[in-house]
Amino acid sequence: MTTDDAMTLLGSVNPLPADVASALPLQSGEAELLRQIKAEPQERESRGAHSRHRMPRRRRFALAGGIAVVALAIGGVLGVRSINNPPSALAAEMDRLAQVAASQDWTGIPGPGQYLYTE
Amino acid sequence: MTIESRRKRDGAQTREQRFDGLFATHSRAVLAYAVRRTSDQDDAADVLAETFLVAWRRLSDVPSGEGELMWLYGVARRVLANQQRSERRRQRLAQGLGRELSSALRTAAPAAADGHPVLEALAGLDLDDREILLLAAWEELSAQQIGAVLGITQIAARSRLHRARKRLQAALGTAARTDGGDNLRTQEAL
Repeated sequence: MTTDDAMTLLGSVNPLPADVASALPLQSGEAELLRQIKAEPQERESRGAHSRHRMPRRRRFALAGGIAVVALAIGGVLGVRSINNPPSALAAEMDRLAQVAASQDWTGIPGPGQYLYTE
Repeated sequence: MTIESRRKRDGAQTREQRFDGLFATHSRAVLAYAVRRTSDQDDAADVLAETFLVAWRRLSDVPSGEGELMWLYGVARRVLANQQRSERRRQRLAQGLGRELSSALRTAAPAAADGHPVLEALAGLDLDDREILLLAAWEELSAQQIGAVLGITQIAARSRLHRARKRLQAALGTAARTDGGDNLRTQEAL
């Protein structure tokens, strides 16, 4: 027996040949089924298009996590510093001198080559 | 009625018309596919109902032309696999059709060939071989169409079909040697 014979034999035991299937009197059952299916909610065109382009939830979480890690890394490199907490001793000293100057009487803005003395 | 609402209504009508056409053209082929793979007409009707419910909900995903039926077969195949795994019926949309089908098959369908050597040989093959052989022999699909149903390339489908045919031939040869080939000779004479 060849493989073609085997396939012919298999075809001969088809429990429902296509021509028999198409002639089955199922019109009322099919009409009822069609009506019931069409009563079910249908995907909206716009939502379908949106959902196809929407990123999967797992990937969205991974992306959000990645962004957070990058943000922390940038913060670590550049430093996240408050204006009320001067980062260095020099800045602290300048801040202190500015407070002293501000507490003195107004003497005008120093011009070029002039100095502002503080006590 | 505004232009926008008229456009929406026309779009819905077009979609409904397309679905009606899809059902009218392919429902029997999908039903036959299900009947050939289940022993219960209610299950077959359920497979039909679920397959077209998926098509209704995802109508924009259904390809046009010849691809329609291959897409539906692919869905029906997955519905059937889920049904067999869960061994429960989830949809009861097709109760009326199931009853009608049972009655129609009693009078119209050929007698069941249970116990036929080719079916016994087929039962000895693995699921993938069985499905590809049945798609070729019962749905009469080409390698390209089988590839579309199974989601594989035409070349892969042809290769798998070739190997499955060889295995069926070998299984039939074994069966023929086991029972002296009487059954096969009888069938060939028919």
